[in-house]
Amino acid sequence: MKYYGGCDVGSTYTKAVILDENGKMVADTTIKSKINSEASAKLAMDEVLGKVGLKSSKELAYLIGTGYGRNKVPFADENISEISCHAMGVHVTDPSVKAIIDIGGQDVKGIAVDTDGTVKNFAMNDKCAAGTGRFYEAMARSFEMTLPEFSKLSLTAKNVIPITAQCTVFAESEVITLVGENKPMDEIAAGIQMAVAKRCFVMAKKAGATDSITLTGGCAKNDGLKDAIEHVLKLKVINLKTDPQLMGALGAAEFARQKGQAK
Amino acid sequence: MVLSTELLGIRNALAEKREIKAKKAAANGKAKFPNPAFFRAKDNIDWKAQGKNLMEVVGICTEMFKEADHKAFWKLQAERCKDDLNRCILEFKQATQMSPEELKDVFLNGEKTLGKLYRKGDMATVRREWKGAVDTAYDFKEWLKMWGMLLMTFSKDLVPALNSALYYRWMISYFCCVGFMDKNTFGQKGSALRMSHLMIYDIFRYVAENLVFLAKCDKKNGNSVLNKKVVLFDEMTMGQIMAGFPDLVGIPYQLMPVFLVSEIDQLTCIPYIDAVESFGLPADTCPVPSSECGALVIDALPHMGSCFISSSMPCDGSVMASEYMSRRFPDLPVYHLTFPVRYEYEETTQDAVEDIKGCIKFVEEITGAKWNWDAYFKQMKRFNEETAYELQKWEVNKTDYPQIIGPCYELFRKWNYEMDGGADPRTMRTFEKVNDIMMKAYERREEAWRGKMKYRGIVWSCPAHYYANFSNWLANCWGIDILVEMESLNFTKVLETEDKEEALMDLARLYERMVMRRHTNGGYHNVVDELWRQVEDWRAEIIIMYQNVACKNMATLQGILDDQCRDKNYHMIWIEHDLMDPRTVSRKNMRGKVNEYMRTVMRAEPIDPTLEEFDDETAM
Repeated sequence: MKYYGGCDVGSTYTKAVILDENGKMVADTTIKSKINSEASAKLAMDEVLGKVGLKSSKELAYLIGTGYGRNKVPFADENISEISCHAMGVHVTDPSVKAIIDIGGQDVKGIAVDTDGTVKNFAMNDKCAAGTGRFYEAMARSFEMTLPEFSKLSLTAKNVIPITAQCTVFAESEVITLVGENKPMDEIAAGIQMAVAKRCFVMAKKAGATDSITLTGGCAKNDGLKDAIEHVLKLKVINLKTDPQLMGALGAAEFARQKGQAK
Repeated sequence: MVLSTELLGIRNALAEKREIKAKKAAANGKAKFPNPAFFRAKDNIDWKAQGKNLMEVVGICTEMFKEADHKAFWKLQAERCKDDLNRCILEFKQATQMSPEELKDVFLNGEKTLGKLYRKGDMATVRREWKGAVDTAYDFKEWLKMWGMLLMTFSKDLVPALNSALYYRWMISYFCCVGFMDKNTFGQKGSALRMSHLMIYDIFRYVAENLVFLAKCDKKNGNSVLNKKVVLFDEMTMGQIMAGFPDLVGIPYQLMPVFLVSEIDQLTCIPYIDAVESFGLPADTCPVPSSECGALVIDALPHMGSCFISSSMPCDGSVMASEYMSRRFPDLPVYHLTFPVRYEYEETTQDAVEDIKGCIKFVEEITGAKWNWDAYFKQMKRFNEETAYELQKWEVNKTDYPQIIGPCYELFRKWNYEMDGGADPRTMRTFEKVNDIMMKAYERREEAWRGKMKYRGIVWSCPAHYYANFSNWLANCWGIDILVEMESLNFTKVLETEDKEEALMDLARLYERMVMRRHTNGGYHNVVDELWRQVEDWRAEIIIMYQNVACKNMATLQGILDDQCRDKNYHMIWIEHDLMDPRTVSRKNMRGKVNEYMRTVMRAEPIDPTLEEFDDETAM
């Protein structure tokens, strides 16, 4: 049996996926990224290779690196941008999806997907931390909560307190002020979700989302955000049956499978 | 698509006119421009102040020498030498491994990969490009010609020029203008290379002459007589109004110290921006007025001229710079041109005419000179002829065989429209020569950017100064050929040259449609609808949409442009930049946007993969 790999080195998490010849996902892993992208890639690949009984990435028929640190995957046969990989990952998971919002650790992307899983258009915000995973981390920190706890809290709110600052630093100050004023924590949390949803709205519009979208990246697991996006974008959010955080690595592995088999 | 018969008619008429003119010039002897007397005048140089400055420069140099880490410096030089040697060996080896056919191809047609010419940390490329035997020889000849012109121009007034070069750090950057010529002709060969050289030579002749002029007029050099004849303009104000004052000289004041120099050396404006920000200006202000104000803060602008014409063109940024200007030089009388924003309404033109009349009266009162209609009409006739040539270039570029593309053309168009405006008769000769080369190349159906013409492109919004040759990279790396850019698409109506009132109306219309203002003022349709009309007209597939991150004007239309672009099925690539500050968005980041789009959406492979990723952070 031949195996194909995809390694998505993100700024916060590194993900790796292995597919078999039929495109079935046989192993996956998600680890916290190290400061050194190459070390993160190696660690993730070692873990995922171990799951299918392989000793080295050289035993893979083809391996593709993607993500923020894709150029630091020296053992990869090729690198492909995470935009293409997310589109392909989502396409193989659910071909009906035509638009994606990928909320990564340090950027937000809107991606329009073509019928064959290739990218039709994209828009990205990579100059500012507003609306990214880092933003959520900062907000959860000011609530002294974990991200899942923060997400759950926002879903319990009956009202929303709008957060006016888009900048992560200023938003954190605003949240601290609101908490200091004894405003309901759940309503502040809902306000934060709404602020990110509005940010996503711009990206989704730029990429050309029409009736439905799906979320990928680590923040896709945030139910509060999904709820806020449905509210703001007035678009249906499609839930993927595979872990949305793995979409980049899955897409890379699928590209590896296609390229490896075409070799 | 081929040229219309109407345009071929214009071309023949222009050729006939040219012949008559050549005969006349031969009969009368060659006319010189501008008045050479201006370039020889020098009086009242404050030698004491100059001596003091010289001592200061020597002091700075001595300190720099003492503080320099000589060991590290020589180590770096040794490394560079070693690197150069290794590169030469590698290139020799590569040549020996080539088949005779490949070697012949490189010898005749030039090298195919250009990214290897950049080296991290260098300000210039490791060597000049090999363009093929004939084109390299031609290129070298032009390189010598440019140096010759610079040395000749500066040697005419060496003392004030040297005084200023020692005082103003920006002046030193002009010694790199041959490097600017190289980077703007990168990858060009044949007719395209020849046309680029002709055009860039004119720009630098203008620059060199005006640099010397600036040096002589600067009150630090003390030329009081000359100063009475000088009218300063802010860099965004067109110079055509000076056509009616043949005894005066109009100078776009901030052009040389700020505007143009930032295109030559991407790092020039950084000290200006830092200076004005430390003075209290917010960091998110547009870098153009920021740099202009910063230049005033660190005393980088000469103290000169009899008066200053400022404007609100193309936007309020110019107003900000004018305010700093009046604070720095309170002795300089200022006239402020404020043309109506909604210029498409014809009833507003009369307001603009009144503004022009006021400006003429102001110049007359300050300088004692009198407006001369004959001189004005004479220059505008020349400008009309130049516009006819320009329109012919557009017609050729709209066909399947565009001939005149690349940054030299873009710069030449803007310079001619904005700065020269028919003032220099020598420019007409360049128009004629370029036209001849272009038409012959068109008739031969030449490929302007050999092997690099894959996509027809158009540029919208204002480009980054620090990456003036971005269109050159687009063609060399991805085969995206920029046929025209927004800033070139200005007023092309033939200006009135007989009726005085109508002439003023036309002059007002011309000013209202100046570079950039034409498509950023006047209403939504001038930005959005006009883009689609132009894209269709030029049959462009790719729109390079610049976004100056410090400007909120175009940002307001981003969503509308995106929506409509999607509906119309064009490719729009948004390129963020910060005009004069490469620290905010680097050249590499700008290229990254195109690389990402081309690979992800277009699924294209680069023509020259060595240009996809390279380091030019310090390169001029």
